[in-house]
Amino acid sequence: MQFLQNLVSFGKIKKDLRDMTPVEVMLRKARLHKGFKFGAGLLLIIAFLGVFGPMILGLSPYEQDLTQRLLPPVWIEGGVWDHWLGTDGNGRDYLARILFGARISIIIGVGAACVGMLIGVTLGVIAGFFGGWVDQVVNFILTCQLALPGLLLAMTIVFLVGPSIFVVIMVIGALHWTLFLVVARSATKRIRSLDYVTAAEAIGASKLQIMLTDILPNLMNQIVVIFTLEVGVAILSEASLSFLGVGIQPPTPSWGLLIAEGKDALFYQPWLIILPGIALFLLVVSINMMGDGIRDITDPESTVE
Amino acid sequence: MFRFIMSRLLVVVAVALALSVVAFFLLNLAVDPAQAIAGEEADLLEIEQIRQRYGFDRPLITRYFEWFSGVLHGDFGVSYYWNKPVGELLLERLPETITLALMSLSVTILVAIPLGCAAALNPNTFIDRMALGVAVSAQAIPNFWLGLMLIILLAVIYPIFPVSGDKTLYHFVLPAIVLGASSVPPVMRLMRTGLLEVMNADYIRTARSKGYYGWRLLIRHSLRNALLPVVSVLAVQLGHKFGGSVITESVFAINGLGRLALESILGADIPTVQILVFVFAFTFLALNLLADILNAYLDPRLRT
Amino acid sequence: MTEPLLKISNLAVSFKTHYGQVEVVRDINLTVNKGETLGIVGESGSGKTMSMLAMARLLPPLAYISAGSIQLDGTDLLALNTAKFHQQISGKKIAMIFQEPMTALNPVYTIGRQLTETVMFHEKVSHATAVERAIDMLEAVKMPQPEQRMGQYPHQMSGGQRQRVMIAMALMNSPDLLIADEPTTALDVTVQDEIIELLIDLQKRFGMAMIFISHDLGVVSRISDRIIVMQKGDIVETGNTADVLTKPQHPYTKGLLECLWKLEEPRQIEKPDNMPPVISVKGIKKSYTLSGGLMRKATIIEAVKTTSFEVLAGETLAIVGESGSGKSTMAKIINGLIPADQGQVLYGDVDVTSLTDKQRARIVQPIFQDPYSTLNPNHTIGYIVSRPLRIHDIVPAAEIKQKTLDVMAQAGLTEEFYHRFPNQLSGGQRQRVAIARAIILEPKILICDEPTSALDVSIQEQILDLLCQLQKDLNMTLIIISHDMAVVGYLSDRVFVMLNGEIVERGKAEQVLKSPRTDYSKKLMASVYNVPKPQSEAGAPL
Repeated sequence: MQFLQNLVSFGKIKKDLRDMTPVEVMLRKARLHKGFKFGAGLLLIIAFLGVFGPMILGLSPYEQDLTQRLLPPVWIEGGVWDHWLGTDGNGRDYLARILFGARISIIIGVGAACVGMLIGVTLGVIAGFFGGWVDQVVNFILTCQLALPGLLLAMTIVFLVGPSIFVVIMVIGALHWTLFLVVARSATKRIRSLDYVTAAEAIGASKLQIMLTDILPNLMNQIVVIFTLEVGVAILSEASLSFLGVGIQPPTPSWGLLIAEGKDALFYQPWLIILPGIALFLLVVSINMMGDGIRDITDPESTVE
Repeated sequence: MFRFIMSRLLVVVAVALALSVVAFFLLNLAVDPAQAIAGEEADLLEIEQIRQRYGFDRPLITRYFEWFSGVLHGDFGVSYYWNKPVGELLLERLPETITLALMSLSVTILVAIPLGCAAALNPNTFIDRMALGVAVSAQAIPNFWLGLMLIILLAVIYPIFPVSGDKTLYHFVLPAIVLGASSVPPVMRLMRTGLLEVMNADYIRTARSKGYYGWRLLIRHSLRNALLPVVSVLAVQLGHKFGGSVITESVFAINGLGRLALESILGADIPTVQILVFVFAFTFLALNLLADILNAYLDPRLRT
Repeated sequence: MTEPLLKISNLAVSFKTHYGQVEVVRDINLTVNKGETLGIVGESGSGKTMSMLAMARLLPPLAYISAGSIQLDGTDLLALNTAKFHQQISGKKIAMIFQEPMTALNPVYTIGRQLTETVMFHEKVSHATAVERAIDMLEAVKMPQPEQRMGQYPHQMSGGQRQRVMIAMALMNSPDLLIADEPTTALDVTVQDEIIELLIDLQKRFGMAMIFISHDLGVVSRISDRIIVMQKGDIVETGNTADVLTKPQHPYTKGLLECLWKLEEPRQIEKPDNMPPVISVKGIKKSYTLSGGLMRKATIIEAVKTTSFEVLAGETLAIVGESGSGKSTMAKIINGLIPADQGQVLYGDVDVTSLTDKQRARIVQPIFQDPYSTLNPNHTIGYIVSRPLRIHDIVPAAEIKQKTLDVMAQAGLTEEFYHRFPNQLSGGQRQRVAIARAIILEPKILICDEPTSALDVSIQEQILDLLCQLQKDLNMTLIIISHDMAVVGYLSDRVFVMLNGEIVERGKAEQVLKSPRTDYSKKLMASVYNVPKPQSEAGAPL
C-alpha cells in the first residue's frame, strides 16, 4: 500500500480523497460500491414488505379458509388471483405468511446479533485492553464456546426452557459471539499499541475514557461488518431450529417452520418449500452483500472501482 | 515439539473438563430428569418414586462426580429413552456420521481450495467475481432447504440419487454435498485472502526476482504458506460437521449421531444428550490439536 | 568507453487509477557500464524503486511501463515475453536485494533450499553442486558456519545475517547486474556499515555492475561511482559522485546536501551549567517476559539495566541508541507511562508513582515517532488538540477554542486545520498537531521519541526548528530519543549513548559527537559523518 501513499503525492488523488473527512470518504465509496447498493436496496425492500406488506394487501397470515386449501401460486394451473402465492394446508394465504415471516426473521436476526455483539465486544475489548491473565481467561472461555456444538446446545436449551421468540433470540445470541470477541480483541490489541492511545494516557485520560473514545469508535467499522454477517447467521440458525421443531412454534409463520410444514408435501406441492426458501435466501444474501460492502467501504486501504 | 504438543494437550484436557461441567449442570438444572422419565401425565408420587430409584434426590455435585468418573471408565450411563447403555448407542451410530463427515469434507476441499486459488490468482476478474458469488450464495442458502431442493431435483424429477437412507455410499452423495457446501464459503474466502496476501509478500517478490513465475511460483513458493491458515479452518469445519450433521441427517434420514441427538432431545433423554455434547466438543478439540500439530510441521516458526 | 551494460531510455511508469493513468516515473535515461556502481538517491515516492522494479518486471499489479526502452547487454528487455524474461534474465542476469531482510525470505523453507533452487532451476546443475556453490557463497558473504546455516530457517537468524543470505542468493548465478534497493535501511547502524563494506568488496570480486538505491545520500556516496538524484518521478541530477557532492546543480540536490551539513553542525547555544535537576532517575530497571503461551519456556529480556541519571532544567538531553537498545522503554518509564521494576523516577522531589495521571500529565508530555498513528483518525484536529483541556478542566469552556487556536498557531498550524481530520494532513503537519497537543497543558518536560525519523529530510528540519523554538518560548526541558546522530547533533546539549539497556557513554554533545570515548559510540558516529563538505575536501574523489 506504500504505492498508493506515494501516489497521493502526485496530485491527482489529492484533490479528491485527501480533502474529504473520513465520513465523506465512506459515503463516496458506498455510492460507488455496486454490491453494497444492491444488498442494501434489496434489504430495504424486504423489510418494507415485511412491515407494511400484510397491511397494504389486507391479508392475515392466520386467517384460515378450509375450502381453499393447498392452492398453487397464480402462475401454476389452478392458482387464483385472491392468493398470489397460493395457500397452505390450512387454507391460509401463503403470501401473507411469507411476508409476515420476514418480520420474524429480521427481529430474531437483529436481536440475536445484538446479544452476541454485547457479549463478544465487551469480552473482546476487555481482553485486548488489559491483556495478561485477563486475556488468558477470556481465551479459555472462547475455546470452550468454540468447542461446544452450537446448534445442538441451542436445540436442547430452547426445547427444555420452552420456545418463544425471546428465548430463541437469547439462545442464538448467547451462542454466536465468538467472532465478535476475536475481532474486537485483536483490533483492540492493535489500537492499544498505537501512539494515540499512549498519547491519551499521557494527557491523563482514564482507562474508561480511552476505551470509550479511543478504542471503541475505531473498532466500530469492523464490528458493524461482523454484526451484519451475524444477523445473516442468526436468521439461518432460527430457520434451522424452527425447521427441526425446536424454534418458533406454530401458528407463528417463521420461514423455517413453513419449510418444515411443507416438507410432507414435497412431491406434490413443492412451492410450499421453494417459496419460503427463496425468501430466506434473498434476505440472507442481501444482508451478506451489505456486510461485504461495508467491509470494503470502511477498509481504509480499499479502493472502489 | 514435545513441549508444544504437551502444552496443547493440557489445554484440551482443561477445556474438556470445563465442558463436562457445563454439559452436566446445564442439562440437569434446566429440566427435572425424574419428570422427563415419568412423562407429562405422571403424578407427583410417581415422579418422587423415580427420583429416589435413580438417585436424583442426591446433590447435583455428587451426581456429577459419579457421572464423570463413569465417563472416564467408559461407562456413559443408560439412556432413559432408548433403554440402552449410551455407549452402545454411540457405537451403533458412529460409522454413519464419520462417513458423512469425511465425505462432506472432501466436497469442501475439492470445491473451495481450487476455487479460492483461482480467485486469488485472477483478482478482480470474472473468475474472482464468480467465486465470490458462489461463496455469497452458499453462505445464504439454508442447509436443510438445499437438501430438500436437491432431493426434489436429483432424486424426484431426475431420479439419479436415492431420496433418503444410509445403506450404501451412494446414499451419502447428496447429504455430503449439502453438508460440504456449508463449509465452502469460509474455506474459499480464507484460501483466497491467504493466497492474495502471500502473493503480495516480499518473499514472493524475491522469488520472482529469482526467475519464478506462473505455476512454478505458486507450487514452490506460495501454496504452502497460504495453506497454513486453511489447515486450521478445515479442522474447525470438520469438527462442525460432526456436531452439525443434525439437520442433514434428519433431512436425509441417516441414522447417525446427529439424528440420535435430535431424537434424544425431543425425548428429553438427558444422559444421551449430555454425552453427545461432550463427545462433539471433545472431537472438536482433538481435531484442533491435530491441526495445530500439522501446522507446526508445515511452519518451522511454530516449532521452536 | 565500452558499450554500456544497461541502457534505459525515456522510461515512464504509470499507475492505473480510477482517475485515469497517473505517471509516477517520467523520462528516465540512464546507463550502467560493466563493473560500475550507480547510486540512485531520492525520498520515498521519488520513483527510484519503481523504475528499478519496472526493469525487473516486478511492478505491482496496477502499474505498467508506459513508454521507453530497456537494453541489457544488447537485448531489448521489453521485447521478451514473460517466460523468456524469467528464464533468461531475472535471477540470472539481473539479481535484486530488497530492503526488508525480515520478510524477503520465505519463512517456511530452509536457507539451503532457497539458495540452491535458483541455480538448479537456471543452470540445471545437480543438487550436490548447487549445495557446494551455496556454501561457497555463504562463505563469500562472510557468514559464520555456512554448512550449519544451510539447514536453518530465516527466523533463526538476525536481520544482518538474513541480508547476507539475500546477497548470497542474488550472487548464486553470478549476475551481470545487481540491484540493491535500500539494502541497509532496515538494519542497525553498525550492521549497515558491514553490509556496505561487503557489497563493495563483492562487487570488485565478481566484477558485476551494481545499482544502489537509497534515500540516504551519505550511504550512496560511499559506494557509488556515479549518482543519480530523483525527485517526484524525474531525474533532476546526474554525475560523478564527487561532482554531485561538491558541485550540485539542481536546487533539490543542494537542499539535500545542506540538510546533511547543517545537521552535522552541533548547535552552539550557551546555557548555564548548574541548573537544578527536573528529573532524577534512581536505579531504574525494567525487564520483559516473552512467553510463547501456556507452558512455553519464558524468555526474559532486560530492556533497561539498572540506570541512574539526572535531567537538568532547561537543557536538551539526547538518548541515542539503535533499535532494541532500550531507549524507548526508558522514555516511557521517565514519562511514567509504564512502571519500572525497580528504582524510582523523581520529578523535582516527587516520585512519579505518587502522582495521579492528571498531575503527571501537566508535568511531562510525550511526542512519538509515527505521524500516522499518533492521531486518532476519528477525531478532528481541533478536538485532538483541545482534548487535554477538556479532560483537565483548567480553562473555562467558552475559552477552550481560542486557547486551542493559539496553541495550534504556536505549532505552526493555521485556523483552517481546526475542523480537518488527520487523514487530510501530511506527515509533517500531523507531527505539528502532536506537538500542539503535547504543549497545550504547558508541561515542564517534553519527551520526544524519534520525533522526525518517519519524516522526509526536508520536513525533519522544520520540525526540529519548531521544537527548539518552543523549548525557548515555553522554557521547557527536552528529552530527545533518537537513533539518528544528525538529529541529536542538531538539538542537544548533552548526549547519552545506550547499548543493550545500559548507558555506555554520557557527556556534552560536542564531546560525544566529536571525540567519543567508547568503541561503540565511535562506530555509531563513524556511520554518520561520511559526507564530505566541499570546503574541506573540495574536488577530492571519495
